[in-house]
Amino acid sequence: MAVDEVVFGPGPSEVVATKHVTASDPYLVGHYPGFTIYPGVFVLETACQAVDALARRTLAATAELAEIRWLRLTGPARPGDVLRVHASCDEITTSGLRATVRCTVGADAAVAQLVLHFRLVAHVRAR
Amino acid sequence: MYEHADLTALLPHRHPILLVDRVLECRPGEHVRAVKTISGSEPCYAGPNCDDVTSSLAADAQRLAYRYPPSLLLESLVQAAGVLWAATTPLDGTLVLAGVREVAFRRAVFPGDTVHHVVDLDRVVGSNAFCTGRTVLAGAGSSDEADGAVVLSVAQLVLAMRPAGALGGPAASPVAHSRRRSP
Repeated sequence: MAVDEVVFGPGPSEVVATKHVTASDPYLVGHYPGFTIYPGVFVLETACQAVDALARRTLAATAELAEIRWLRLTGPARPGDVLRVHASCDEITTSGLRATVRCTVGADAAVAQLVLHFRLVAHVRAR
Repeated sequence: MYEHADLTALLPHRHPILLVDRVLECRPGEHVRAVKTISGSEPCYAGPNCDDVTSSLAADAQRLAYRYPPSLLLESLVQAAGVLWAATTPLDGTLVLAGVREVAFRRAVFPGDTVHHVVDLDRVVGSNAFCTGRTVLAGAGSSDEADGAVVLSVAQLVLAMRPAGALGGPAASPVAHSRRRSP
């Protein structure tokens, strides 16, 4: 529920997720009643789902958040905004990766910047 | 101790994103210990994602699909920090998370687990509060410090109080009505 669309690229280790912020989303009715702000941790969730989608597609693995090196929230995302989350991954090994993430709304207004580390859990098909 | 009804007087958050169930201990200006029990009926477990994964992946990955989202676990700890700040100083404005540094997710938690958030208020500078914190699995051992019990550790968490209107909201945006109570 934190991602509406995922577009892979432009680079092989990059992904862009978008989320239309609406006041009627399941968790948002309580954050806050009468004055909706997209919670900062949901920006994190959107980033995590984007990176996980990239890992599933290119690495056949689930990306599980292991560490937030840092996260800075610099502006609000409000109902009507389209949140754009651009994640660029590096330090990719069989066990993990690092993602540097920049989040904006509207015409490139900064909302958040994050550096995240993920564990990779390889997919094994059920027999 | 603060029961759930008390928390609605301290925090602006409401169902289903009021993610602290109870506060066991609160020393204003210093420290808070808050309880959160994870339920399989929370909105994060609705939708197709969980079902899709269980149909195609091995058992470990199936179980992982029901991991409580780290983002919500962090939000729950942030709210515990908000309770501590609100109990220290009446909040005047809109409470937001400004940032975190070095947050380590050490183990996954699942529906049925109860965790305790332990947060210390390090300092308040202007409209920002700086905290450290950790989340431990209740009942995992005799001590919070037991390695296996630590779910989440936060080296730094910064809360900010934004003036009404600064976030593009109405002049009278809803804020928590801070009400001092003895812990």
